[in-house]
Amino acid sequence: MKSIYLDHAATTGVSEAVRESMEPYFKESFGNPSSLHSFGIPNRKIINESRVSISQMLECEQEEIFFTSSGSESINWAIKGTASAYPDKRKIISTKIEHHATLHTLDYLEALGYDISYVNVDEFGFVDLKHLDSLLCSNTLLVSIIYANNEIGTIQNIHAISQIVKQHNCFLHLDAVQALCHIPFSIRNLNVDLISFSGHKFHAPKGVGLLYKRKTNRIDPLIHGGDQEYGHRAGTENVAFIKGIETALREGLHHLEEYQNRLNSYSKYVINALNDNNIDFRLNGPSIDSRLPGHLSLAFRDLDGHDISFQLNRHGFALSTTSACDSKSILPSHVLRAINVDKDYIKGTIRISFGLNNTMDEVVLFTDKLIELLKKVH
Amino acid sequence: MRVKVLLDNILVYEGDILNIPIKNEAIISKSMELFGDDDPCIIHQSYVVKDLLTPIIDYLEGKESFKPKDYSQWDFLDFESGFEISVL
Repeated sequence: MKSIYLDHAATTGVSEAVRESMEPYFKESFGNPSSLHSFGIPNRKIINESRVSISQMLECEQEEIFFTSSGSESINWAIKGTASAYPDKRKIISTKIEHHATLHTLDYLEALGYDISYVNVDEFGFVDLKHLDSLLCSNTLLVSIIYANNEIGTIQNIHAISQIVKQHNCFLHLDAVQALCHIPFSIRNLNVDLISFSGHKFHAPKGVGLLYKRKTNRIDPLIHGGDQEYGHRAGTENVAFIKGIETALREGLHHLEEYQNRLNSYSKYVINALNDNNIDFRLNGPSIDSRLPGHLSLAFRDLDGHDISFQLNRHGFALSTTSACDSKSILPSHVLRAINVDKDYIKGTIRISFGLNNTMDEVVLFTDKLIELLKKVH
Repeated sequence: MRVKVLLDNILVYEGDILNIPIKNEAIISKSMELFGDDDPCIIHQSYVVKDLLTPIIDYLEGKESFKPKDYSQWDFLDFESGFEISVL
């Protein structure tokens, strides 16, 4: 039986172009980029060129891009590093629908005495802008918002959020882990101070991320030691993965428009088929036009998402119930609870996230099997 | 799927098949096989239970009852040999 992968919001596989671009740096080109000899110098050049290339693609300056080990590290660094660099302000604002990388970082800072506030979101996961405005004060250091939600696909109106945050002279951090290479992205147009990215969400390997930091803002390091990353993040650079994330970003942006249109058509096909077959379901999060391409959080009445996912997996379809990192808890996810998903539906939630290599034939096969299983259990 | 389990004509279980009693050591053993984890979280335990019960659920599709010929194959169930599972 052929397995069909429908869990791209959890992770993606390394593309062939990315693998090829990284290969030399595992073997013959292994030099330490800080070494001043023929093994090290070319690798320093690769890092510098990758940084320039990424900054051009994202429309920022090269000294504003830092390589990290993951999206989680970037988020931790953005929040803790800013808090440490500006100790006079002690209030941070976020939402209850953030990834745990943000929520648990904020728990940590709260235990250190920071004042953490959570802005309301509506039933689709959109930030309540009036509430945000009312929470901001002269003591607010930072607002941290998830740009595109990993569980319910909501894409926030960052321009509106930024406008409010900037009126209060606060920093704005975006968790853009699910956004890059999935929706159009220009840092120049966003007016934010910090942005976190993760490579493995767009066909780079696991173990590499990016942090954008506006060059006029300060940030304290999380990792102390050598002078790498402009003295802000110590540790010998992972040249292969840095080259890999640069290649993946170039590829991802190259086919972005086709990718968005195709994946949106997949999502619409599934929704239409469920409706045509009178399946009792809810789409968690906003409509297709306001959510991540190919991302569906579907909730089925009086069913268990784990059972549906298990049965679909038996038939070769790999998907998720909530975000992969949430799997320590059997409670409905914190995101679904925060948007008040109906109690009759919340436990019956599955997440389907189509990806670059899925075909319409696979989408049809999946949809047919899903409907067959749902009709059987009802 | 709701089932009842009879042993020597005595009712020993009635309820959802996914809640049927399973020996803890069988769950740990299957968890080791699937996840390499001898202390599975609740979600992994739930997955393991589904995986163990799948052959019985498949067998019971469209049938009324299941009475194994070889009970050693089903010794992960927390019943004495001789049980019979019937669909309600």
